[in-house]
Amino acid sequence: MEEFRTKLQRKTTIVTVLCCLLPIITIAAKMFFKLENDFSSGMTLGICCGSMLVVVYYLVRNFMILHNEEKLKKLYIEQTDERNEAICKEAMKTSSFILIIVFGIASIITGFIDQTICMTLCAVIYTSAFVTVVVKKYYSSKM
Amino acid sequence: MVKNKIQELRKARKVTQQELADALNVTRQTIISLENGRYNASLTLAHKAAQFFSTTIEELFIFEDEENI
Repeated sequence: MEEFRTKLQRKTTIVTVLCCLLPIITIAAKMFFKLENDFSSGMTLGICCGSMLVVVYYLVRNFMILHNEEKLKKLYIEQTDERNEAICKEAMKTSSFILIIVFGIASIITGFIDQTICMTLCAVIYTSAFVTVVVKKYYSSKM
Repeated sequence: MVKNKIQELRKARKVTQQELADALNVTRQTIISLENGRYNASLTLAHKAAQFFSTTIEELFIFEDEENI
């Protein structure tokens, strides 16, 4: 349990640092790339605000959990429960398989409509295939 | 296929699903799934459960294909 508490504290610290860095990065990116058009400005601001909200919620939740033994144990059980882990693994496996199929079909269809979208979808498929191979190699060397 | 005697032993010892879940550090839903046979426990959880009931894994979990092993 103490190990889990330390892990949670470390996670909270990392998220706090990220929370402080996010607005700085956004402002720096805006200045560096000279984002003038409404769409990119709106997108950046939206992503920044959304992420900040999530981060603040996460921080408040972690702070409350770290000061409450009962809640900490509940979260520990929730996060280390092997059935939950098995469900997550299975869900990830199925969803990534379905996504690849959907992207494959979409890239074929969009090939007749728009070349840019088709190429983007193909890039997504190849990237996910590459990431899968790298991750598999990593785990096969670890286990 | 793996069957188990968790429900049987738990009821015999008058232990609730929540108490067992707390002792094994899992959620109550995991105990329900184990008892219903919808989920097979890992070796670690099987060992913990066997220790809780002061029995062996072989006695707690029944492997139906045992003759073929």
